[in-house]
Parts: sequence; C-alpha cells; structure tokens
Amino acid sequence: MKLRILKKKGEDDTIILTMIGELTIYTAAKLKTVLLNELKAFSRVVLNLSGIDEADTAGFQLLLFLKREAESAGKTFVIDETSARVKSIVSLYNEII
Amino acid sequence: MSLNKSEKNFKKEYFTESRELLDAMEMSLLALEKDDSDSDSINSIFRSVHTIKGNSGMFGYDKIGEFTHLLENLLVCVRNGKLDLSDEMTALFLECHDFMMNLIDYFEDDCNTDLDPDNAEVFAILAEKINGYLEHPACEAAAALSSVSEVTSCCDDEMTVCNDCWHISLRFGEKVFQEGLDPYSFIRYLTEKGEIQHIRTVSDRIPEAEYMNPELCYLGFEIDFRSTVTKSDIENIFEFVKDDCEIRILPPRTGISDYVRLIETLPEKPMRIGEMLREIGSLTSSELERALQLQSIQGKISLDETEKEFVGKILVDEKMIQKPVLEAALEKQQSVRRREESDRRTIRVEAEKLDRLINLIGELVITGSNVKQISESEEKTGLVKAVNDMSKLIEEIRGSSMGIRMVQIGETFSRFERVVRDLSRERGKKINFIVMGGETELDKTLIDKLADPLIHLIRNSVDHGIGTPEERTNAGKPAVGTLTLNAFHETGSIVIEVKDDGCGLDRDKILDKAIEQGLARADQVYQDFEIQQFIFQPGFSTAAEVTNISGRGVGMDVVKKNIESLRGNVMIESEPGEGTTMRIHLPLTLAIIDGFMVRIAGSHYVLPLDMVTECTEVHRDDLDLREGGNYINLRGDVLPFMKMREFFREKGEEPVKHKVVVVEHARRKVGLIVDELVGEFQTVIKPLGKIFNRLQWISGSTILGTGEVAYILDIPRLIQAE
Repeated sequence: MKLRILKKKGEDDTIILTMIGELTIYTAAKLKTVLLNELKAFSRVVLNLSGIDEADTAGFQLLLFLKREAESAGKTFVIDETSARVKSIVSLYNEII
Repeated sequence: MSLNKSEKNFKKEYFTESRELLDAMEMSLLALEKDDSDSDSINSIFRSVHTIKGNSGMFGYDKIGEFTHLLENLLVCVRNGKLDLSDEMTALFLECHDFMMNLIDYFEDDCNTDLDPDNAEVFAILAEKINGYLEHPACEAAAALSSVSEVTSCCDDEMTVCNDCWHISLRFGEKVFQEGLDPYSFIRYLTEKGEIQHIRTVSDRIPEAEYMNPELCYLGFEIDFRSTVTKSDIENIFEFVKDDCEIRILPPRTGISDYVRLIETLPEKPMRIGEMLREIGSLTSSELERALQLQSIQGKISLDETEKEFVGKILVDEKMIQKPVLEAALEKQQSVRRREESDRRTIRVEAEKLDRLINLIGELVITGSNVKQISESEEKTGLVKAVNDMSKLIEEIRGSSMGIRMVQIGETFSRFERVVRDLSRERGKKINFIVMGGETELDKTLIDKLADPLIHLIRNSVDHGIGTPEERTNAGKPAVGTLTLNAFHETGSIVIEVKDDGCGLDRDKILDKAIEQGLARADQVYQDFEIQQFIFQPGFSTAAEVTNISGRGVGMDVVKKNIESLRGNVMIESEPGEGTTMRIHLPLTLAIIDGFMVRIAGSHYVLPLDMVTECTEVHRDDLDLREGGNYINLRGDVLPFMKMREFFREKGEEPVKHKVVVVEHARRKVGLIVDELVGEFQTVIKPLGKIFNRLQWISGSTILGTGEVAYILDIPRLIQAE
C-alpha cells in the first residue's frame, strides 16, 4: 500500500488525519475500514489530503460515501486541505465535499 | 420624457439586445433561404420576434410592438405549416427585418415613440403585405390562437426543450474500476471537446456501509454538455467503456418526449432524476412539469401525494416571487438571451475602458523592463528573483488582457452573407458564399476596421469577378459561382482571403488603362504582379460601365490604404479565367508585440518575434566574396539577404562575424545581416508622429528600459523592397 496516515487528536473530540500517498482503488478498501472506525470513535473527522499525489474516481467515491455516512450519523466530516490532484477530480465532478 | 439613470441603462440594454436579436433573425432567415425545411431557424426567428415584441411593449415602443405582433402571426402560420415559405415570403421577412432595424435606430436617436411620416409609410406597406398572407383562410385560426398565448414563454408552445446543450446520462457498471478504467479520464476528455455546463454526480447506488465495496463503482453522472460535436463523436469518447457503462445521449433542443423516455429508463426515481435535470439546467421547471405530467397521463409512473406537491412547489416558488415589473422583465430578457445565444456567458465592457487598460499595461511593461534592467545591475539576488517573478506576471497580464480584445471573426463574416445575397440578386448572378475559419480570433479594433475593406473586395468579386450564369456556362464553368471568405493564422499574422472563381483580372485591359492614365509606359515590359498593383492606384478602373456598386475607381486604393494603416498588406493572386484571390495579411494585434531586438551599428531595432524564423551566423568573408548577388546558402536553400548596415548607411568598423536573422512574411524569407542579437523583448508600439509619415522601413518606435528609443522594423515592407 502506498499510503501513510498520520493521526493527531485535536480539541473537542476531533481527529485530524493527514494522508500521504495514493487515494485510489488500491487504497480504498483499507481507507474505508480505517475511516469508518474513526467516524465511530470521534464526532469530528478532519482530513488533510494535501499529501495525496495520486487519486482516482474510486477515491472520490469513497469520500462521497464517507460524507454520507457522517451525515447520517450526525457527525462532521471535513476535508481541510487538498492537493492539486484531488482538487482537479473534485472540481471536474463539481462536488463539494 | 425624463429618464433616471437606471431606466436609461435599461433602454440602452433594450436597443443593444434588439439589434442582437435582429442579427440572429437575419442569420436564420438566410439559413432558411438555403434550406426551407430548417425548423430550428423558423423557431429561432420566432423567438427573436417574440422577445422584441415583449420588450418593446415594456418600453412603450408600441409601434414596434404592433409590427412584431403582425409578423409573429405570419410566423405562426409558417411554423404550423399552414403556409408554405416561399422565396417572396423570405424576402418579405428580410424587408421586415431591415425595417425593424431602422426603427430601432430611429427610436434610439430620438426620444419620440411615434413614427415619422416616412417610416409610417413603410409600416403601412409592409403591414399590407403581411395581411395579404394572413387573409389566407388557413391562417386566421392560427393567428387568433397566437394572440391568446402571447405572454407565455417560448417553450410552452413547443414540444421541444429550450436547452441547447447535449444531455449525457452515464451509469457506470460496478466493474469499471477493476477493469482499470477511470470515469474521470472519460469525463475529463469531454471537456476537450466542449464545455461541461453542469454536472451532477449520482451517488444513490452506493449501498449501506457494510455492503459497500470501495473497489466497485456505484456512480453515475448527469451532464449538460455544450459542444458542436455530433452524437457519434460523443459515443466515440465512451467507446472503451461502453460495455461497462450505460450511456444515454440526448441532442440539444430535443423533444420533451425524449426526456420522458430518459426519466423512465434511468434506475433512480422519476422525481429524483427530474429534479436533477432541472438543477443542471437541462429542463426548465415548466418543461419538467410537462414531462412528469405526460408520464402520469401515460400511466407509466404514478406520483404519490408528496411528489405531486413537490412539482407544484417548484413552480410556485418560481412564479410567486413578485418583483418590480421592470426588473422582472429585465431578468426575463436576460434568461431568454442566455438560452438563445450560443455564446458563453459574457460581460459587456465599453471598448474605451478596455483601451485604457491596455494603455496602462503598455506603460507597465515599459516600467517593468526598466526595473528589470536596474535590478540586474545591482548585486542583490533576492531583488533579481523578485523582479523576474514580477516580469513573468506582467507578461501574463499582458497576454490575458490582449486576449480580452480578441474576437472571433465569424460574426463579421456572417454579416457579409446578406451583402452577397442582395448584390447577387441585383446583378442577376448566382453565388454560393462560403465562410471558412470563422473561429479565427483577431483584435477587436482590427475587425472593426476590416469590415469596410472586406465589403469592398466582396463587392468587387460579385460585380466584376463572377459572371452571370450564362457567361459562366459559356466559359465552361458551373452556373453558380463560388465566393469564399477564409481566415487563418500564418507565421505571426492573420490571413484573410476573398476568393472567387470568376474571370480573373484582365491583364491586357489593366495595362492599356494604366498606359492611358499615364501610370505605365507603353515601351516597358511589366510583370504580372506589377500590373496587378495598378488597380490599387487612386482613380483606376477598367469597368466598361460604372454601376451603382463599383467601377468608379474609388475603392481599391482606399482598401489598400486602410489595410496598410493596420500594418497589413494586400496581395493579389489571379489566373485569367480561373478566378482571383485577394489575400490580406494582418498583424495579430496592434498595441503590444513580442519583439526581437538586434543592434545595427549604434542603434537598436526591434523585429516582431512572430516573423523571425531563425538566427544564424556568417563570416564577413562569406558575404564579401560572394559574386552575382546577395544570396547565402541556408541548408541548401537560396536565401536572399540584406546588409542592414549598408541599408541604413551606417559607417564604422564592421564586426568580423555577422549575425543573420531570418524573417518570413507572406511566404517569403529574407536574411537580415545585423551586428548583434540582443534577444527577446516585450515591445509596446508607440506610433511615430505625423512628420515621420514618409519614413519607410520603420513601422513605429518603442522605449527601452534605459529610456533609449528603438525602432520597429517594418518587415513586410523590407521584404517587398528586397
């Protein structure tokens, strides 16, 4: 897996996850498990994607999915910073995550 | 009538818009004339007239309103197929168009809202003609109908949707990711073929968390896509993924029933899809309502109570908002425009403001290069870097602000269609007018100044070039002549060609005339191109008879002068019996160019970089030892050269090694021998004053960072002189 996740606890039950590497179909399965667990444990999950240098639609779909899950559980899921690659996908699909 | 400022602005807007609508109407009419089954054109004419009518009523121009109402009645009959569109009727529509244009001009100049006697007379004549058609029994019913539904929007009385974009509906299969395909790349590729107006990601299929497999694709997309491509082009984009994706493509302005089918076949609930279609602008609210109604009538879907309420709410939300009449009407105006005009969202800016911006940027460029030179002499590395960054930014600002001025030439070209049509009818000729390269971009100022010369050239071709059908058949050519207007880029200039397949320039006749007028000497032998140049002389005409269009001998000299004032030139290519091509070469832009600076003796000169094709070096001996003319060998090609030192009569010691700058213009290359190559240089062209008017070879000057003046060499002239 070409993905590293750095976790940092913030105030108010927040976890900040800084991801470095790929947000693609190769890392999606692992990410789903990790992030769903974090969503269960914390009320606010903040993603820093500025270190993502490779991303695809599978990664994008996962973000959409997590946002939906967070909303239905009444939690907050925020993307704090993005890399150019992530930005180009999200803006092509015209979605706000 | 006293108007406050905003009302004045609204009025201005009204006049501008009416003119645009009339232009659109003219284009559609001309298209109809070629192909009378073109229902798009009829609809577009109808919409133009309808909008003008609505707006005119609002501003109290009742006469225009009255007239457009009549016209609209006639159009309804044509659209419903009650009346056939004859040539006479198209001609009448064109007459009506001209009349409305006159009215708009008249009302704009005058605060009056009533007609003067002249216009009133024309009004009566045209109204009579229209009524003549309307008295046809088939029409009466239809006309009555139209006056009832006149306020409703254009969409309600048609079964086609207003949206002029392709609608693409994609549902990717679950296996897409695993096949190594990424929907991103396909949709990304779409943006190269056109513009994605709106896109909605459909993520409804993503299952519950525990069943969701991140390696499967659950996504779909609804895309509103503006492009001129064909359906098969779009299908080709998705060729690779077609086994793994459900693709549905609806063409622009398709029937509502197509959307009904789309809503039915998509897996999501009809309301959900409908709402998305409305959101991305593929359907308007009323169209959506209609589509959903159609479905429920057909019994194919049943809306439950909440959904019915929802449809109602969309409409109420939009209709209930009461606004001051003027404002609301203005908004309607704008939304109609948005739908009707194919061009992208635009902001109108006064040309003057733009000119001021360009001037300021010109000054900024000069100051910037001054700062750069100073920073290079200082030993502060931080400063040098910062200044470099700034220069780069200035260059970008310059580039994009020049880009603002660039306009596609197609609009100007299409105006000539009417000129050709009217002229050819008048002169009894049959001419097929072809426009190519309409998307070529050109500085707005240039385009404005080009219109007159181009009309002249076109008139010449119609009047002198292309013969009557009999003359042409006798000469063994097709009876219908072809007149082509073509624009394209070529080494740093824009080329515009006016080309006809007529009889070509009559060499002997021109020469005789030139001798008669004392322009040429009978005992001298002239080359073809020299003879062709005579037609640019003031007062020169070979036409046997003077017509009301051309032949008076004013014209070509004015054309040439106009083009030269734009730093361009005109060339003629003519084959007797085959036709004539008038080729205009123009610089890309007027104010700022990328220059290439050279030094000749003590002075600096700037050449337009676009015209420089390469630089090379020659030894002094190579130049001096050459016998039989000024030519050097450039990789096996013969390249004529000019010693710029001798040309400008500079004295002093020549350098041992000469630099050669190879420049190209109008398909001719020349090597210029200079002392030193200084490098690229952003050049703000400062025109020379009037007293320097007769200065040849120099097209302007520029100020260097040091405050020195450099001259801009007039390459086209130099090449001609060579």
